[in-house]
Amino acid sequence: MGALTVNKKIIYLGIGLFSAFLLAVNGWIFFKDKSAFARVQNVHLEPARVMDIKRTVITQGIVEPAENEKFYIQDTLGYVKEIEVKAGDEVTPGTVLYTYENPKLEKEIRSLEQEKEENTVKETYYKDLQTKLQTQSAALGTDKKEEGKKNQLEKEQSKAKMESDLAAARNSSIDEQLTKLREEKENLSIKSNTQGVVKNVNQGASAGNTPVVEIVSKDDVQIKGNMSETVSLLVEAGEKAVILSPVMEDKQWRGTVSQFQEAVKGKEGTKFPVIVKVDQQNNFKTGQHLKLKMTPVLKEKAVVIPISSLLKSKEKPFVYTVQEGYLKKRAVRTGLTYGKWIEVKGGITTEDMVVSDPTPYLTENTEVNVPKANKHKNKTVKDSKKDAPQ
Amino acid sequence: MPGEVHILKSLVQPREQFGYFRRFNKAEGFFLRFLMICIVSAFLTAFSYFLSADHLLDIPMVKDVKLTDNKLQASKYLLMAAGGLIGFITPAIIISCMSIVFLPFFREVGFKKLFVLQSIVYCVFLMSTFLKLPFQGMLNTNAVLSPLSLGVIANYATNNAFIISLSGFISVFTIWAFYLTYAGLKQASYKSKAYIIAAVSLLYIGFILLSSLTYALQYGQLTL
Repeated sequence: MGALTVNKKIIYLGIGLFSAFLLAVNGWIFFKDKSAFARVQNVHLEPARVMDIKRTVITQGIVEPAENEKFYIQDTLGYVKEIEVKAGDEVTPGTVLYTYENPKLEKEIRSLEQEKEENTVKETYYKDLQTKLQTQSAALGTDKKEEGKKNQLEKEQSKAKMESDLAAARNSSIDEQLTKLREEKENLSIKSNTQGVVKNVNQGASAGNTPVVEIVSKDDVQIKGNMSETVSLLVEAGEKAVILSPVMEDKQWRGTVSQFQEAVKGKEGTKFPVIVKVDQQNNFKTGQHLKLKMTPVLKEKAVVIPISSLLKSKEKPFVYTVQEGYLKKRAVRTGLTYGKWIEVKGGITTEDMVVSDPTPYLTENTEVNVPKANKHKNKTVKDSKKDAPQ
Repeated sequence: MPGEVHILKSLVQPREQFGYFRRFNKAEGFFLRFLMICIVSAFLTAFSYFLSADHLLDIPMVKDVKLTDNKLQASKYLLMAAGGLIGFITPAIIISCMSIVFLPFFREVGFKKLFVLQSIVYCVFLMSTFLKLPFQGMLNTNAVLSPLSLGVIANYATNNAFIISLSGFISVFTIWAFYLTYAGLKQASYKSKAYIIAAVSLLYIGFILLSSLTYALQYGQLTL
């Protein structure tokens, strides 16, 4: 009986202490935050944000020399007479690489030079004749008989002058033609336009795809990637790119899309080669495989909300907002998605806050509690990069 | 042979008071005492509705109707009357349900004795409701957590509906109700102590878990 009373006392003491503990702690909470006593659902609000919607594009790339000059056979210039360089030679702009031999051009030049010589002789002859006739004419008297002879000499003098002028004019024309042909002859020497190293020399190259001489830049490299047609529509020249190495995962380099090359048709469809210039110091080697990551902007300053805040009723999207402690349904028009965000084209503005974690079980006009920390959040966050896919 | 039911004594001295469960088949004067429980419940519920009337009439649907001040005042009293009616009926429904749930485990006790026992247990919950009234008045809502439960701490610390609900059930009153049920059944039933503890625990814990899950589901923190 005595043990039973002790047991009872322990139980009552335990319950009493538990009650006192609860009253003390709950009393403290009551003075800190009365709403903790209210049994309503807590919802979290997220402001509608403004951000640029981007799309991440990743493509494989290969390192190649930044400048690559190839010289092919040009039948119109003749045949290759002599190649002046060999593989490995360093060249600068103006270095003669190889020369053409063009017999037709040579023959033409020789023929014109001969013609010019003939004309020069002719011109000199007629000029001399002219002087001679003039002297003879001056020596004649003024009587009637000599007057007739004088007239005859003057006629011959005029004719000589005309012939001399014609020869001079002809020479002038030949000079022009010769200058042009000599320029053409000069162009038979093929010179380098870039500074670099001779990569290949093909002695027996014929007109076609094989270059006679190929020059590549010595240190400067670029990255060539391929894009699908859809992706190529998103990326423009000038777009910033991040260059990643599959070997050095923690390192990345900055680059810029410099140009798109002509599309190439392949088995997997049309590919659009893209050239990315490296903006940073690097030690890339020609032939290395890298990854090119670009994030072209699809839409600037779009109003976005978290995808998780979106619900659907009969396929029509809507969100919940909180008005004076009650849920309000707002139909929205959605657009592009971006990571955990979705664009809202209509229905809410950047002034609105939406319930970030609603479920289909929520109903409009349900009383909800927004935790204090959430209530004091800034209503709009401009161009937020937080949580945006990188 | 009838025995007398002493509600207040049964609440504090269950072992002694529930002895009549073994000795008598009828509980004398129980109907009047049950009626008293219903009336107390009706008053408490009516008062509870009255205290949270401002809040209940503050919902957007009611606001959209744009009631006049007089109509709003009348609505408050209407709510109070409705609360009274609901409070009067509720004990009969809840106690019956509780008795039916316990019946398969304690067939030898019978529905009537279980009903008497659960009526006394229900009084504990009425006391819990009574203790919540000042908080309902201060917070203007009828959905408040008991100050003698862990629910307030949980609601303050987390947003997890399941944990809040579960903690809300862990209160001095639940422990009291559990003990009363156990003590009453120990007197009324010939089943072993272990069986009674297991059965009561199963039903209480099962009910608490099920209610908490439903609560979490209702607030969308669990999806099917």
